[in-house]
Amino acid sequence: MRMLQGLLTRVEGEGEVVLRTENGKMVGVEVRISEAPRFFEYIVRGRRYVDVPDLVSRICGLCGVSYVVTACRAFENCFEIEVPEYEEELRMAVLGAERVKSHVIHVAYLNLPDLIGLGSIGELFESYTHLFQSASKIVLWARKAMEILGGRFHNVVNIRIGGVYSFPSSEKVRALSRDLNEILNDFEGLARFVLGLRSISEEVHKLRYMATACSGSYCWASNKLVLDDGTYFGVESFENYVLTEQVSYSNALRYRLVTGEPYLVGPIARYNNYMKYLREEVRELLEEFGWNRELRGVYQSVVARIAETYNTLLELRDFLSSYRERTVSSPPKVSRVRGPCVAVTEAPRGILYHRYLLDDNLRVRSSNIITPTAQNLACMEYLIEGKLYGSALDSKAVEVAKSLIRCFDPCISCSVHVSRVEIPAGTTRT
Amino acid sequence: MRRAAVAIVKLTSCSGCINEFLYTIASYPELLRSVSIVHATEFQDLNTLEDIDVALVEGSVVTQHQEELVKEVRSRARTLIAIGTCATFGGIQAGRVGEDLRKVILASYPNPDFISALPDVKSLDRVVKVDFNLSGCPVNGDALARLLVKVILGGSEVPIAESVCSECKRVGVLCVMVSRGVPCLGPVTLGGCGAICPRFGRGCYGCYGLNTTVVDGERLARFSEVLEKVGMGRGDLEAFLKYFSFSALTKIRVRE
Repeated sequence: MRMLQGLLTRVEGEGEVVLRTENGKMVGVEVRISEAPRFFEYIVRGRRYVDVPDLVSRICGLCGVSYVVTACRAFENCFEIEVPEYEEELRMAVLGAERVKSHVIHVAYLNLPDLIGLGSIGELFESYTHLFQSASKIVLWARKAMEILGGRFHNVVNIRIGGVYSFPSSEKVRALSRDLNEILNDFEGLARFVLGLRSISEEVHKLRYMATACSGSYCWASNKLVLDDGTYFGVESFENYVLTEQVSYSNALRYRLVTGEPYLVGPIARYNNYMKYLREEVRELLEEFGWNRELRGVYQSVVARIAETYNTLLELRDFLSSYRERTVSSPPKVSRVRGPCVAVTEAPRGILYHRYLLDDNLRVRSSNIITPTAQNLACMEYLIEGKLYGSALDSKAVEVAKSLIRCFDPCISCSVHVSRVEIPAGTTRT
Repeated sequence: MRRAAVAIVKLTSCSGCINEFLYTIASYPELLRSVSIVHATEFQDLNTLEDIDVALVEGSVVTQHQEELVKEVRSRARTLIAIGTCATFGGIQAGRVGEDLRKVILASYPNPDFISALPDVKSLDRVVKVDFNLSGCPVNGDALARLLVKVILGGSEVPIAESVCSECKRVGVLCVMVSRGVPCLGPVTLGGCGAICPRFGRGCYGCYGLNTTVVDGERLARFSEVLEKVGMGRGDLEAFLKYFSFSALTKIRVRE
């Protein structure tokens, strides 16, 4: 047996794809997550619950806000804390700015080179300077937004359990709001370029998928989840719907539905559930390019990222233009916790699940964090195998596998965060 | 002018500092005309570690492989810059050092035999010679841009190590600890963040690492008594120091 390997590039973190061959034909694939484990479960153990959001933010340099928000919501759920409306809006705006940053970095810097036949961000700068500059302007605006609303670009400091630490000044927010009009123009240019690309593959991928569940809106945070077949369930029973597995070649745990099927989380799952709730301007733009339809495969996730970014920018425009500086609520007083502290939020890459158990002193006894990329790993292998099984392999095949993986926008550092799992006997594959 | 060959190398970390570098080139695109990125797996397909002018290394060393990698990078790089708190102090993953490694792994993974990790978490300066330490969780992208330009142009080092307190004074933020009794690690923590936590009305939790040029064991011990009075216990202080200042703790201990 022979193996063809390729280091994963233009993705966050350290991973590798390995194609196994027999008699020159592809017989199997391993998506190896070689990123060294960081054992966050140990790190948060014994800590005060109030310190947890700032600690878990460190799991991811791309979507730290999603971790902060999910941890806060988990404790707000188990302490039955109500977040004041305006503070919640501010938190969701920070989460939105992070989404814009994450999606635009992926679409323009990491994914776009595949669609126009380039190999790096430097080549993009040389050949498509204007496009590169538009993308950079959007990312820089998102950075500014995160700085003003959240304190900084990564590991934001303004979000706490029960709300926010402070409301930024109206003056700063007004400046941000003014700049957004120009950014929307830049974004439209980028969006039109991407949506008009003929190189977005129509390859059909039949996949199960899961997203958070909301009624009547595009869903970013909820205590309910929904599967593609319409099955609804509460976040407290999430772990009953998935199987955990560990494989010898990867430092990330992986997840499947209890039926053993891989499932997809992220832009496609959300888009196919909620596209009808996108704003009219977004739907019109999609329609202009013939994209106002269910997305068929992960190659098309770039379309969902564009749609979600546009929608988020428009929502941010409304939030910023009607913003008023307010007085923050006092930090909640809690004494007793009822049951586990659980929440799920849509990170840019899909559903992010946190569960914490606290002891009598309200310190963390144990935790479980399930990341979107870890949930998508089984899908990646399933699709690569479906595409390449039995075919003759050369280095081109490795590139095909790599570009397929890139469409998931994997966040490898997150996926090895690792937490304690209660894993039923017999599900560990070796 | 020949472009300076820059290598971005990631060890154990979250990529947050590498993304600050991405911000650096997005805000100073002219940098792309004076540097050539020879290694950065996050942004490009073709990567080499041949002849490096400036190596920017994110993350701490937790495996044998990383130890070898960083030594190799060092041997090929004229200048090596440790970026971020993981590279300069060990980072949050140092929180598990001192625990029984097998227990740590077993609590995290159902099958511990598949996982390899060293018992220690090392900052870069414990493995190789580091020319510049730029801490921060994440590193400040503007500071990184300026340092990079300076190094490329051959500028000399300006040794300044301020604490967060200096930044509060400069931007006119009322001391959160004195005025409101909020525990704040600002007095013992390296500045460079712009005092963002106090500016948002909360205490600093030390993510830029201990300012060892002004803090010794004696001062830290006295400071911990002050913190205790405003509600931060010794155990919680030690946990934060372990997460963000680990390698400095071998030199400085909170007095028992």
